[in-house]
Amino acid sequence: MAARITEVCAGVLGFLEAIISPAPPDVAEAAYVPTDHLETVDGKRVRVVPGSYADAERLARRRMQREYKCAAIVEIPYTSAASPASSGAVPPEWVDQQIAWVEANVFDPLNESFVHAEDGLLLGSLTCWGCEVTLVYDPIRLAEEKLFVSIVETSYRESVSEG
Amino acid sequence: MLQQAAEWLAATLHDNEGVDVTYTRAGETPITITVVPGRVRPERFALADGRVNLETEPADFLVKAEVLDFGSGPVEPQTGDRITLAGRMYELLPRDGEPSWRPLTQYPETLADGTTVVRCPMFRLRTIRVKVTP
Repeated sequence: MAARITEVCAGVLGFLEAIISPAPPDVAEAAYVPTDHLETVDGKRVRVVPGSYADAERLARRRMQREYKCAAIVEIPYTSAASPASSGAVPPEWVDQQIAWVEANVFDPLNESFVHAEDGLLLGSLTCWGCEVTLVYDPIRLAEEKLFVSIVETSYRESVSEG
Repeated sequence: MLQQAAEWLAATLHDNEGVDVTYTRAGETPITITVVPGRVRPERFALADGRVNLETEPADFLVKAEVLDFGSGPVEPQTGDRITLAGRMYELLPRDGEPSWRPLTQYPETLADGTTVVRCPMFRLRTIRVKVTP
């Protein structure tokens, strides 16, 4: 039997897969310590990984609200030759496009789904408690590897009975 | 003396350690030149607290300034230029706070009219291995 945090990540991954519909070379996957080799990377890569979980709040004498956090890590390589212009190796317009893609395909869906019980909850019982883009882009990876990286972290809560 | 030493160093490296590569710049016809492969130091970066990792292969190359010529005279290297060597493609990119290329050796030379110019017989190119693309 899988741990609940694993089930939560799998649920988030399945939800994102349905939205992104990744086709090669794009990838959406759950992976604990994936290693990418820059010279092989192409397409968008979305990884859903566990963050943390803990009892967040006591609801009743024998009932707790438990919180699970997971992160969606997005990597998108810029495969054209770098621009020699002083503005940087990657065109700002391209970065704008990737930021917009993350917002439209990862942040907005995660942030707006599983919020109200009447609209459906994640795995039937998990409410989206928070969604945050903790890394919009990494300037060093963008400049030195032409790799756009963004991280969206979400937290879900459900009530669990003790004992 | 300094000028002779710099030119001897460039010529010796070029002649003894040089390999032929295809040098590509956007908008120009690719050229075959001889470069001297330098240090290759694979690096690994942790993304998202190490939950995803990225491996890269930075490599340095030395090139004689006079061979970088797309047909209209020698030019300086520039970020985004690409080197194809044995099926691997490397791209000039700034790294570790350093520019993508710099003069390896420089010496001043006084011209007949009395003005002084700085000569550079060789460039050091900082590259990173990238996906081979047309």
